[in-house]
Amino acid sequence: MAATFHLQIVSLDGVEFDGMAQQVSCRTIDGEMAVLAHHINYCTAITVGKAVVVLEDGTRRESACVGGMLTMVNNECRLIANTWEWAEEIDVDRARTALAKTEVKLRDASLGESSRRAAQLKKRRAELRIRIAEENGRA
Amino acid sequence: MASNMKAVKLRMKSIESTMQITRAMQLVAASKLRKAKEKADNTRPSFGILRNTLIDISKRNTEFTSVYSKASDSPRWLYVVIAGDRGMAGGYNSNLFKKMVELSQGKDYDVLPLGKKTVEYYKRRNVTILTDSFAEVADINMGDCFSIANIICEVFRKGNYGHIALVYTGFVSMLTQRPDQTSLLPLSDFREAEREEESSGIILYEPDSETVFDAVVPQYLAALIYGAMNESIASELAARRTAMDAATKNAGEMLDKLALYYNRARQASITQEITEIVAGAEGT
Repeated sequence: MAATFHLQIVSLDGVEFDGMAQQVSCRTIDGEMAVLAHHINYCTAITVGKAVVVLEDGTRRESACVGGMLTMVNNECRLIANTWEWAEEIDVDRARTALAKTEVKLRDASLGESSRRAAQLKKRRAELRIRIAEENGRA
Repeated sequence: MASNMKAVKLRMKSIESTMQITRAMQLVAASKLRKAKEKADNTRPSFGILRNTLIDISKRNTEFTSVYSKASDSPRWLYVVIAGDRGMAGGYNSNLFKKMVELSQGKDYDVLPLGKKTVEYYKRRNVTILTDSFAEVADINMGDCFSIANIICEVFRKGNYGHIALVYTGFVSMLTQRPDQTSLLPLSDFREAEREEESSGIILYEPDSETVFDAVVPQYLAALIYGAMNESIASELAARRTAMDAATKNAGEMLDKLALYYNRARQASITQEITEIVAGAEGT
């Protein structure tokens, strides 16, 4: 059996996961990365992307993870996300509405620099949620 | 006497309808409070972990310099003030503003208000408002907190403000809520923060500690604002519940007193009528 480590996933909405895992992977500001048991003590920041957790029994769970940070200290891994939605919890309709709204917004040429950036980020988040839901056969 | 009785009756009616309103408000606040408290409790763990990590980074790297850790030369302060959207919550709003007056004394400051009451209060006092796009606390979601954090980071990076602080109401218990303040930027107070830590050895930061730090700071601020906002909302509801409970009780007491007064007046008028009839009968 593969070695495991203690993984805690916390978002601003509360504790999303607390238990043993074989692997956790996500998109960091430096690129995709995966953490296995006995990883060197490590810390990085996360951006918008898919996160995958392989549980103790080998089950794969996917989620839409937006921002935050990941730390691994003495085989204790903590993933602090801004938002974390497990694939089965994603509200696809809401994501689609958000995507449509941001697309309309981005077409507006008079949009200011900061609101354009915010809308683009929103679009990326909505696309990510839809993609993950689709990959998990939910849409 | 009869006109007096009518006035008392009218008064009782008006108190009764006020009581109905205060009771309804109390019930609404009580039912919303449970949810708000849950939300406030949920935010705490992630905020604590984020804070500890930032302390760790700043402690380990004595030579590192981040835009956010250095205090700028500007003497101006920016206060992010969180109060309610509505009144009828006892001293919730006024206590917070009193605290703000105390804190901002002698300082050159601007505010970023959250909550309708805050916007009204500072507009009336002609204080410069950074933006009033977050006027309704009830409508603010996590995304807005990130927008606020980004605004704060931007104005701080530009050097517009030397210090940025957050003023909110801390939820101590259902009966006690305390106005509180916490510093947002610069993060120089992290170095002094005492924390006994387990010897975890060297940590690898990717790509490097400064980049990680700079990426995490806006998130940390957003988490802080989001947490403070949830606490404030829970405090507001708890304050409203207590205030409305007291108002309902007072109204009940007033009604009792008036009912007694009304009955006495009614009895007195009956007695008087009988006396008049008897006197009339004797006269014939």
